Amino acid sequence: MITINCPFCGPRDEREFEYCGPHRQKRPDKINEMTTSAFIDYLTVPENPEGEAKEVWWHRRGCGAWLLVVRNTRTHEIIKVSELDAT
Amino acid sequence: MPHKYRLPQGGKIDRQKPIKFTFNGVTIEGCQGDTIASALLANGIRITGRSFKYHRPRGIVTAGIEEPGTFVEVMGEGRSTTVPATMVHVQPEMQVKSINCWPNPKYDLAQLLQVFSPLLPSGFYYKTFFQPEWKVFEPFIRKMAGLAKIPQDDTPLQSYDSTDTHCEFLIVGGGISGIIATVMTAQTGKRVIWVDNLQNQHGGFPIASADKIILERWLQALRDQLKGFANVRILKQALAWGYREQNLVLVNQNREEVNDVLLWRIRARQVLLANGCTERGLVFPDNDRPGIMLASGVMKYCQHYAVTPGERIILYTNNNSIRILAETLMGQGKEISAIIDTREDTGQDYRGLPPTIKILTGYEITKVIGWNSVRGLIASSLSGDDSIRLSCDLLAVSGGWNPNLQLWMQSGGAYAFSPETATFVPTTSLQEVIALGMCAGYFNPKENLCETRKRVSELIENLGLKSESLELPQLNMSEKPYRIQSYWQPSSTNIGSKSFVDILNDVTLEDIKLALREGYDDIELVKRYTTLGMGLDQGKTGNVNATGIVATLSGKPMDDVGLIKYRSPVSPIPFGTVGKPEGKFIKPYRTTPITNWNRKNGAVLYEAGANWKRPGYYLLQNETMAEAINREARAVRNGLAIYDGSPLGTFEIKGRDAAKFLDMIYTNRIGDIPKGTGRYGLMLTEEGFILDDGVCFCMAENWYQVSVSTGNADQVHLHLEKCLRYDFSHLEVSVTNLTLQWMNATVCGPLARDFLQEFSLDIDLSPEKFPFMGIRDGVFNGMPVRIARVSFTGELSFEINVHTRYLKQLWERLISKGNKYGITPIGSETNHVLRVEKGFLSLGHEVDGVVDPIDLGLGWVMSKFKKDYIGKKAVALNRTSHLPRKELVGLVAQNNDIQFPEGAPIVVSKNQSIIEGHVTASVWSEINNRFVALALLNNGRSRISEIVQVRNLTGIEKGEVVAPCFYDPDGKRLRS
Repeated sequence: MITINCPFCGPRDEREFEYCGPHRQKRPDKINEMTTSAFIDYLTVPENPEGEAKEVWWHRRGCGAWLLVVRNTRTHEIIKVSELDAT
Repeated sequence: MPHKYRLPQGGKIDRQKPIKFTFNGVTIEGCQGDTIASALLANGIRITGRSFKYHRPRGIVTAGIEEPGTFVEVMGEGRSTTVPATMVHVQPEMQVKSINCWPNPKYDLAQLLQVFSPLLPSGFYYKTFFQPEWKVFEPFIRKMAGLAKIPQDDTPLQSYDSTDTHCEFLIVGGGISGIIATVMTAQTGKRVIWVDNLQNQHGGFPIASADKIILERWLQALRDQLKGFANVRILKQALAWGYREQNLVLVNQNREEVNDVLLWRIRARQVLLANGCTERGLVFPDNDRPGIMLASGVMKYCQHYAVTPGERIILYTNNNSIRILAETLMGQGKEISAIIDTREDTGQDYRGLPPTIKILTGYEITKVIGWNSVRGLIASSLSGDDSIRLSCDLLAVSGGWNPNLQLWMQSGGAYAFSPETATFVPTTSLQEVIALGMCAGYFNPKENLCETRKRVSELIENLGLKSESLELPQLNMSEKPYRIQSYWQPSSTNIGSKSFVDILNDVTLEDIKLALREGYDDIELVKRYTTLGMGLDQGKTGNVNATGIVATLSGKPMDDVGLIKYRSPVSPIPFGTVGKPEGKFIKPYRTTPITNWNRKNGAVLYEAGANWKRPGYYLLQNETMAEAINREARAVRNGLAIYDGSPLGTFEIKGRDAAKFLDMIYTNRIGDIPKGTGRYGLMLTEEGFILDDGVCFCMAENWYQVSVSTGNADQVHLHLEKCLRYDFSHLEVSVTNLTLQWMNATVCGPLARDFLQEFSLDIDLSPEKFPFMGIRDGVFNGMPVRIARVSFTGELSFEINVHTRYLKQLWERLISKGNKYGITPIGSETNHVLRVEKGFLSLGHEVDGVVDPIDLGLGWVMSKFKKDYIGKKAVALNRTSHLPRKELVGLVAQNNDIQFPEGAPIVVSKNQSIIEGHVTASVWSEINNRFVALALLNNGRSRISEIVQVRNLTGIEKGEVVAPCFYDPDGKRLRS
């Protein structure tokens, strides 16, 4: 169980958050024009690094913020927490 | 004094307070302060259990949490299952039973297994019992190898609770370095939590009696000093059993005063592990015979419980810590007949001992004499030219000392083999944690004191804090350095004897050799193949020996082989502390304002999705469940019924781009839904699987209301939010969860309209003005309502939504006025029957994460005009393979009395081991007066009226494939 330092609420327990998957590229605008292999890559090949990984967390049972968390998957160290870029 | 092996004085037991308890039905007398183990040893009871696999007689081996030999079941009040006999204090009238033997440990019938033991090598289960099927053998094997039975009486005797806390310093360990660290960190003024750990209260590196007195007096003074610190919290009777990321330590505390177990989740800035050390055994032939104990156990029984379970004592060792035991036993007037040391060079270690003790250096034990109890042994010189037969009734063994690395390893800390101490010691840490004292590999008490003080003061200094200097006591005798020489395995073994590495799991030296021969050369694979280091004791006394053996046999350095990873919990903990308490606190059940009405009116409450408690059906007097469901179904089809549809997920989607957003979320067109009506829609995942089905209403321009399945509401909410935050963050839309704000009573049945017209309502309910899929706001008997004409039953239906505060009032009015119509409340079981009759989908039944909308006959919901929506491309891509698809069909048995079980496979007629589909739902349909079922079948839609074969538990039954709708296929009734 990890602690996430929410930029709005301070360090809070993992139980307040919901893990929403690895940070990935935005859905391509023209998805129906993509080639099959590019589409399959987009769907099924998320980055899975050993070390620093970018993750998306939702402070669902807290302030509701969407956060980008940089976490070391080997040590569980949380390197950076920021609001998920809304643009 | 009836106790044969009790010493005349000493120990921390109260001889004036005898306690009687029963062990396997025999009354035993112990003293206040005894554990079950010490009381049994005091009474000369040697055989206390049987081993798991070979059912060999076993006795007590240690005096602590590391015990691998004797596990007991405590019955009656205070019952617990499968606990080490060394950890339970005797109570008056306690009933104790050995596990794993029948009829009793002395005459165990399964002991015959030993005769066949050459047929039981490691990996035996995998190799032998897979044919014809494991399940044929399983009950017998479980009975033979099982642990204590689960108590049939399920009333909990203890309660469980959990709490979270934080601190600057967390000290784990109640021994010398634990107390030093607590006193020193307490002086910083920061918050300190001290876990007076159960793990090293017993055992630990031996200390000469004279020094022990000095040390205990000094430690008591430190304990007294701690009482003055308000910033220190002491957790007594506690066990730190788990170490997680970011310095989270899990501690179970037994609070006898309130009879509960409290789980502490402690988040600490800095953890100091003073977990102490545990002695390991030596591997030699038949080293498991009752009467062979670890030296630390013998020491503890002598010093603490005043028990020495033998008269003719031999010590066997590879290190000099045994000398302190020899002196302690002699101090109690006991005679040691011999010390056998595997080291050739013992230096000055045995100098000054009386000449009556035979010292055999460079000798190893090659044979143990005695079956139910050790009676003697044969020691042979390592050079092989001499062997001596000696008799004894107690053999105390020391194979060296291991730091208790369990928590250290869980924290991610590294460790390395130290040749001087012949064990693994902690090196670099991954988290903010340090190891102290014996846990860090400083076994000698004097060294332990100095090193602990040094490390703690360095830590405090590095953190920029201050503490006073601590004066250490002067110890006289414990100055000799600890000396050890590795001895991992006997130089030769003879057939017919077993040299145990893991006594608890019956893993022998031969088993490890076999695993290596068969290619399982990694220590973790050796563990899995042989069961070494698994189970209750987690290999606390055997794992380092196993590494030594693997290293010797494979010629690898110790560090390359490494230790078997110690996993949490460090020692078994009650499930109650980590499991969820029955729905009450951790994940509370959700109820609606009429749950109490339901309870009073015979509802059988089910746990529905998303933790809701919903009525399954309402039982009248003298009614069975099936009768109740049929009565409720008749009311919907022929009369008037009502149900509480509140748990349905409700979301409001608003904003300039709401329609654009929903057009991406749903497969069908949303943007052109006329105001005041709704449309059935499907949400897919990007992978093309069905996320949810539901109805989307247009309330006004840029304002939509979406209803989704109860169990799926949380996932859908996450999906909508994630889409907005991520992929469609450029859209101006807001999603509001109104599940708990809108509650509803759904009135259904052919009489529903007539009935509602009796109320004061400003909405025209006629089919022309308020058609199917319409939604209207209005005022119903003074209450603001939003009525939707949706139907999950296939019958005329009005979903009357109100604010939560009005639901009870609404419900009671409808019920009281509905009596003359025979209004019948219905539950989710009946709803299930009705939806199967109509062929409506249910997530988790028909929608199983493999099928797509077209398989389910919902191709018409997939818009052909929209260029893009979530899942569109993936569904098309999945269908390019042209493999047979599982399609939704109806199924009726040819034999009218047969109900196909849900989940039953549909098999190919020519080869019944090939499955071509399965039954997804199967119910008694009251309106059709027969059983009906839905199924997913390969290419099913083109096989209507075909006969297929369904495999029941008893055999094959024939069924006819029909269209997946058994009632009103044109939908006239729900539109009426």
